[in-house]
Amino acid sequence: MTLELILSGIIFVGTYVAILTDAVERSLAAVSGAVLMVITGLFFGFYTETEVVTEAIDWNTIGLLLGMMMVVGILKDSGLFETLAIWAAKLARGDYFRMILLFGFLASLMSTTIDNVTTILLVAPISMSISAVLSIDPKPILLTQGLFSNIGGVATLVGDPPNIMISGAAGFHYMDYIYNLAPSVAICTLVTVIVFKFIFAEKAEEENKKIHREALEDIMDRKPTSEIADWSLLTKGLIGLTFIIVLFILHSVVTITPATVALTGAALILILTRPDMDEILSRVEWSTLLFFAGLFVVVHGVVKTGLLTKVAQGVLHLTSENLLFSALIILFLTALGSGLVDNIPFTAAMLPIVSTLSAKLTGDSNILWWALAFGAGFGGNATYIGSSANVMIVKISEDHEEPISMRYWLKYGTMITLITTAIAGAIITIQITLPVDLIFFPS
Amino acid sequence: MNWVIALTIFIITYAVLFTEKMDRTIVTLAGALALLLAGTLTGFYVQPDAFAAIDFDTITLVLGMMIMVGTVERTGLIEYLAIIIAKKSRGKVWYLLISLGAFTAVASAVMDNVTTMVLVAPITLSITDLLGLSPIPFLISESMLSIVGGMSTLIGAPPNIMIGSAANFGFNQFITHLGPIALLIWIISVIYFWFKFNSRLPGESDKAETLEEMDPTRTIESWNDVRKAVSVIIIVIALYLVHGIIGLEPPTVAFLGAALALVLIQPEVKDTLANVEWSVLLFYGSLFVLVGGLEEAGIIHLLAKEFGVIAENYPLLAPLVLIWIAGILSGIIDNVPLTIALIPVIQGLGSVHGIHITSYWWALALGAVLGGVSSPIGSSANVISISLSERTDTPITFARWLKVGIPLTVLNLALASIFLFFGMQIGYM
Repeated sequence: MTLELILSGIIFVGTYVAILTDAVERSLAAVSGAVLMVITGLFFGFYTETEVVTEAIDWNTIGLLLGMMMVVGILKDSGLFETLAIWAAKLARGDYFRMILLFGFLASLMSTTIDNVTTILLVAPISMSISAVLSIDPKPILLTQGLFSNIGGVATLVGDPPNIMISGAAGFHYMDYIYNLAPSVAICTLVTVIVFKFIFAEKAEEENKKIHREALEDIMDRKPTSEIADWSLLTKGLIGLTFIIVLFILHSVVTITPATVALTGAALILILTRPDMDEILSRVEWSTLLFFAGLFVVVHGVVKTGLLTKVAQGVLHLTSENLLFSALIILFLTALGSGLVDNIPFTAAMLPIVSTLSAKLTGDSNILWWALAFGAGFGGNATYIGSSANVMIVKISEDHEEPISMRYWLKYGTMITLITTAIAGAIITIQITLPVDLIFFPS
Repeated sequence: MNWVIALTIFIITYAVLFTEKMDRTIVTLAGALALLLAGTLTGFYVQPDAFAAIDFDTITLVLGMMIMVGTVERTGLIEYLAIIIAKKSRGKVWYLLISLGAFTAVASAVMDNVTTMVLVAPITLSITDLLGLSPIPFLISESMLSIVGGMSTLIGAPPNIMIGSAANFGFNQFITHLGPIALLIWIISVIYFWFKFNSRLPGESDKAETLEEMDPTRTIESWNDVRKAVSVIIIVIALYLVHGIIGLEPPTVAFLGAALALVLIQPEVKDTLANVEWSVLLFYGSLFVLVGGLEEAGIIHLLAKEFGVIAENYPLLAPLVLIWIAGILSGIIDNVPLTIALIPVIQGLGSVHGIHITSYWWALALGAVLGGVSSPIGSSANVISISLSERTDTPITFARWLKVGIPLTVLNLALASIFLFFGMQIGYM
């Protein structure tokens, strides 16, 4: 091992330790790690400063986040989220577990067409305000949203950034994802629901007792539409949002990149509503954007020194050219990696490896790509830095007096990751070993 | 066809922008995305092009500096310095204006003028607030002088860095060729400001006496934090001065300073980030995307080609024409994309037509840099001044800026033309 390899590894691990232990603010940890990585890289010659903006940072992700954060920031004043909150509370009729499920399914469904982070940005504030009104603990509700949005996002091309990257590398289309991934995603979602029914049974009982009865009755009497503060703003906002969603769905047809879609939608709503720009920009989670940018720069460092590739190749070496082994290794390795690192940078490191393998192996090697998609999507649930949506969930939970801690997330997230990844592994094994075509991978 | 779409969107955006009827960030963001969407649908301008068009060096430099200065501001150091400077001036307004302007110009010669303005503008606002003066003349003159000061050195202005590497000009060549004219323009500018602002500024501040009683140390909460802040600033400035030698680019230095300040002083990161002028960054980024669209649509290339024809037919006149073209254009679009577009044209003149191109390089540097004075969006320093002035009761309007900037730019470009003309006659430039 050369010195640069070791140093880049130390900076990488140091940054992640600082993030995982919450020792310093996340964005500060990521930015400091990034600065160290760049300076070290310049010294050893594995990093150039132009690379930081041209290669390391995924501007599509940052732009997409910025656009959607602005949209949500403008819509905040319309009362839309409060309206949806009242509506959801009425539908759940004050039952805690029903509330968990309702918001979970909402997140799961939305994230198949909208990207996960946007889903969370739209749904999580609703559950926060409803929890505040009913004086119940928002943590399990928020957690379920995060987990479900990640699982749901695996089902479609646009649902999850790793899926977008995979389609770029393997040339899959929108419907390929639906055929190959959606049935398994449905199974995983149902199993998760059943598991949660048991895990949160006691908690639900407890919270049901805590529910503020008067507030609940008050809510049941209220009309959801009475919460709307500004109809004109709402109409304009919804026009913009519809525009965004239509472009998202069409985006494989007209090839408009997601960031362009989100930012155009934001610009459209801004032009229509003309809010105070400084106010809207103050609502954007800049520290989250900086966190992402910093993380991209750090991960690019270990990609450049070859550390990430070396680790991945070493593990893949064990598979000895067997399709089933390779697929399972890719699945579990990606799941593990995506839990530790953000799944976007990890997927980026895996793409060339999977590409090589799928060319080398005989049989239906497309399944390797699907294993990668499952691993990145499901593995991201293990820790809260595993996916961008989870980071947002934790960020939003910080408005509550008891924010979601890393320990809390690990307790439930890891279990769901294990279960869903195991299901995906079982489905892949059945598909490869059985000679018949199942509904799962028709290719 | 593409360039018709691009130019239409560009002109509409600028027309709305200069009426100042709508928030400038919204206007440029909408314009940029309209152009990007049109470009995506017709295929001449797609998202990767747009991100490539953004000069992230400038954006990240400004962001890093803003985080650092924001952290330093919380220690009370900026106010402390402002009180001391204001006291030293004894309320003599012109003494203050000239010395601040001189400091800005000299600092811009050795650092980026964006960096200089991010540091100097908050101090200026604090001083003018203490003395009960309008900050407008101060901010305007500082930005304009920082541009002039930056012109004199290789590292002072972004176009110079690019021209230096394209033409193989070193540090000394810039100082010896552009230093004298920068000094002359600096003197003329100060005289110009005297005529422009004298009627509006009192000779002496009436708050000078109350100022005497102020205790600067009262603004400081923790001297320990101040020491840390000062050491961070010293480290950053030292790294700027030697950045060419150790191979660190300004954005990395700025982010190093930002991270150091945050780690050492430990403010709430959230609050610090909330104080960053994000609208400036978004506005500036959007402008780059707009101009990038023009470039991809082939308009700047078209202009450049036309200029090639002029240069071939009128070799003596062409460098002078170039000063004015670059000067006028860099008031409209940022001088970075402008310089990027014009460098290959000049190289082409040399290699294809066999023209002696040294004087063209100087013309480009003079025009591209000096033109930035004219409009509020001509240079990133100006954008920062305008945005920071919006924190006060008397924000600088676009109209106000143009009224001061355009005559001065015409004067400067005329001086530069005369200078270049004689320089060419004696074979110096």
